[in-house]
Amino acid sequence: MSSLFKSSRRARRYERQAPSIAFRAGMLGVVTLMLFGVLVFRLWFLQVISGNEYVAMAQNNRVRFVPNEAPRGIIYDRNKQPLVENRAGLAVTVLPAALKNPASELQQLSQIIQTPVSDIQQELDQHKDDSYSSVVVKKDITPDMKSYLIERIPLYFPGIDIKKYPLRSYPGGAEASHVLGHVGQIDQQELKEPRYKGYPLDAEIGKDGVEYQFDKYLRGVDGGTEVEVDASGRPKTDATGQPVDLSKKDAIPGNDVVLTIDSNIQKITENALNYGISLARAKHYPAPGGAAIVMDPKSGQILAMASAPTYDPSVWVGGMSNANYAKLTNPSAHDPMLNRAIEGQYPPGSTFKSITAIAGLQEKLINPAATVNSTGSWHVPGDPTVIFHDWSALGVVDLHRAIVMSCDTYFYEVGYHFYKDNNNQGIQKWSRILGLGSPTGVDLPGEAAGRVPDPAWKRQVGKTPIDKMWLPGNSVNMAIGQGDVLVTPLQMASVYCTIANGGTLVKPHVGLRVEDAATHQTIQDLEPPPGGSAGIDPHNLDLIKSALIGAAQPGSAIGGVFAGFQPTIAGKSGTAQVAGKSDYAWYASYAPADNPKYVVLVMIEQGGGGSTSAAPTVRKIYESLFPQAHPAPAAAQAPPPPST
Amino acid sequence: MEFRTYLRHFDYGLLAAVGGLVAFGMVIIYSATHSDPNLPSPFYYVRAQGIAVAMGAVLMMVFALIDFRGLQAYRWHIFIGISVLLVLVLLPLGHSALGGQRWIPLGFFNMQPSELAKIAIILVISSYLTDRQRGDLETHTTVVALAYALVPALLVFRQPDFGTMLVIVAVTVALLFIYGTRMLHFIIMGAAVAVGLFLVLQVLPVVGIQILKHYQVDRLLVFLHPGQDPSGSGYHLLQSKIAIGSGMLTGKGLYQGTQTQLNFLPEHHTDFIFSVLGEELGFIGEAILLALYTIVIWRGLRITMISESVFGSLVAGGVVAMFVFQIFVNIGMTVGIMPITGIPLPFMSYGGSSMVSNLVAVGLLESIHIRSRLISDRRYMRAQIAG
Repeated sequence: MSSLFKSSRRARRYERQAPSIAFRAGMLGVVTLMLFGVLVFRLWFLQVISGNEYVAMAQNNRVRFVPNEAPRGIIYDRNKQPLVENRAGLAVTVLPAALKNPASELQQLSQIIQTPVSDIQQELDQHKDDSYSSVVVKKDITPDMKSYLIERIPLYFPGIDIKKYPLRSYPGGAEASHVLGHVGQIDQQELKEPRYKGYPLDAEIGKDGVEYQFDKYLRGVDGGTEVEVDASGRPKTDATGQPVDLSKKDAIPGNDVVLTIDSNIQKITENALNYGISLARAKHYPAPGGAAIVMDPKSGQILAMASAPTYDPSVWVGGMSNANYAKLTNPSAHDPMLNRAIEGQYPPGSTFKSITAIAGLQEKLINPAATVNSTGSWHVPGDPTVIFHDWSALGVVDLHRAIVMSCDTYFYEVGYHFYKDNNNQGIQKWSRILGLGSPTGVDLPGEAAGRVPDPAWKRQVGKTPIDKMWLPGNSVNMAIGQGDVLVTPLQMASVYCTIANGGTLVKPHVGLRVEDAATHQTIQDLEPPPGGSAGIDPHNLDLIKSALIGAAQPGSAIGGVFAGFQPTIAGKSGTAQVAGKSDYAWYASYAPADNPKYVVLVMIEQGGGGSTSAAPTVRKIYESLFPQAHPAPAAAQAPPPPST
Repeated sequence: MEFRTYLRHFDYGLLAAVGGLVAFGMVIIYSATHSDPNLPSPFYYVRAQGIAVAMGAVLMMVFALIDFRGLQAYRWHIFIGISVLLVLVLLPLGHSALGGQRWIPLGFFNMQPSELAKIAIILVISSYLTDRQRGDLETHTTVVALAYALVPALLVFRQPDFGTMLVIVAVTVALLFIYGTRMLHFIIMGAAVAVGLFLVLQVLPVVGIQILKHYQVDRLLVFLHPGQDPSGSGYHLLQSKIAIGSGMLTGKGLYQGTQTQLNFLPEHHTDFIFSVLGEELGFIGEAILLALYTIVIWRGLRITMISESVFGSLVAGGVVAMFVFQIFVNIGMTVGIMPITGIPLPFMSYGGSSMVSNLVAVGLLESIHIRSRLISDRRYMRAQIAG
């Protein structure tokens, strides 16, 4: 029977179901083919037409770039004492794409790392174009936070990670903070500047001071590792438990920068400045701040630059907190972040008389032997309505005595001579030659230009027709460093460098050289080329220098501040008047007077007269600069006469 | 009847295609799960699936060898039995997995009654419609058939298992279609579904009645607005599309899919197993899979057509519709043209109940095939003798 079936198989006819059911079953088949057709079409589209896009997305999913930030170079003082170093910090990073429930995860993270959610979100928002890169949301977490997070990351915080991060450290605390500056994360505005072309989104850049100025040397080249991660963000490991690196690029540390700053002199200067300020305050002057500079008058190297009040740059490390920022910017803090030595602009007072004297001698409007009778007040001949006061009735004075005693009347006359001489702009001319009215070009950011007033400037800023005119009083006031003249302490220090070194202009600077971080070989000399001659007749300069020696001796305007001090100091005090404020105290000096090694300049805001606070500060500095060379400053204790 | 005769009348084409699919599925399940460090053995899921396949194969043989026509008489037994099981699963002994109550623990096996319900409803409605076939195509028949479907559909939905409910509805509609229900009834049903959806999604939530779970609504909304939130409900879909898309024409190679092996792809051995296949074997692997499915559907439809009884045709057609619907919705879900509903891919997805049910369904198809062949053999013999 079975053989019968077998042989007849081909001939078998099937009785089919009612044709209607078969027909509808066929329709079901057609529908199936259509549905499968849709799937095939869709799959073709996904895999063949847009496959490359998805390959890239799959790659982005699994490959995570773990950047390895290059440490910045170390900043040394001239004796290779480190001023800014690096330390290993811990940073918390977030990978936005790996967050499963961003709102609640960030909320919890915010509590653990004690940072507002809004701050974290702000960091993430800056990187939202690239959700596959980790964003550093908090630098410098405590070890407690670290251990707490490490335990919970695998379970609760996929996409959150902790990594080592080089952070700045300051062995000297607040020492030289204005010169050194600080670092911070680049912001959106800075990213657009040509200076930062090609910098990564979360680059750490120098924000101020040397960190900013020499950023290109200090910055290293970031490295990084590409690792394969799973969906929860864990790196895939090989059999030995080591992460599988797909590629690795080592970070190249930044180069070291050696400064002209001498850490010892810097400390001395800062302490002396604080001493001067406390001296002024003890005499009931407000003295909110001040600046002190020590320079090498030959090279223009800045050995110390202090500005008070100061701040601890470590508040910037790991991100400035809002509380700290509020503290630093509170008006009662008196702008601690302002580098008064280069950013502050002040009337120079009598320190300017050296410039007036040089201008008068060079323009042949002063005969050094000619005398003026100082009676205590002066007025423009023919106009007794405006009285110019002198600090003392000094009697008959020539140029030498006028500088030694800081005689205003003498210089009123000089100023008036300039005006009379067909409105001679000699004082302006020599001010500019000596570097006033424009930035000195020091290798620090934010330098102010100061101001050298002239008829053009008055025309520009004057509101009334009379204001727009250059009046005799303008020349008279300018001659004693009052009126509209404004200088930065560094500009004035540079002027005294030129006087001290015999008439050569200097370019003040803090950068000495760039060294390779590994080999310590010099790879770049940062010193500017020597300046040219100011063109001052040596004979004229000698007159000024001899007067400046006298001006630092007992019996001068400052009394006995430097009495008996060896080596001999040359200098000029200044007491600048500012409407509505106490006087600004200046002292500009150099020593040894016969072969100057240092220019020391101190300016104390509202610190009273130059001899009250500025000159004692300068003495304090010299005492440390010439430790063996001076006798006990008994004479310095004698109360100086009120002075300019 | 001799056993050998049965064996000779087996549809070996169907069997081969199903065997190929099952083997294919095991390979992909292995690929998707072998690197999971939490498993006691890399073969954990493959072994479990293998046990289900063995059980399913035995049951398939049993259903192939018994006369399926006998089942027609047990309509009420089947109906009440499956209803009781579906109620049981709602009681506290039902296991909860991923927010749904779906399993009954049998000790050696966690049974998912909703998978059985798919087969049961095919048998129940086919039986009912066969009884009614001498009557007109009256409204009464359609309403009662829908009522039969409604009970398991609602119980399954209660679990909640939205996907299986959709399968039951789709199978019911297919059975009515093959039976020959009037077009007007389908139009009315379609309109009723549209109104119902509008009420459920738009009107009732406003007055505070939430019939669908939040995640179900989210999935539907993500389907309508993909890319709205890549890490929430849309995350699964996006990762699935990345997996499939990045497989390109030839795939990344078995066990080489990064989306799968690094767990970016969720549920990669169950609902999203097709994405694993797409990533690792590419368009070509998918084409082979679809070709195997096409053979199964083709054989199923052929059995529908050659069945010697209306009941056989309806059961076969229902099984085919069940397969087609699940294949399309599952694959459609992985490529983003259907919402994510949690419907397994027949013969491929990991899951014992689903595998057993599908193999039982194949057993029914074989049984229908064998009976049809036997009848046509006998008719042929009678014709020979008469001739």
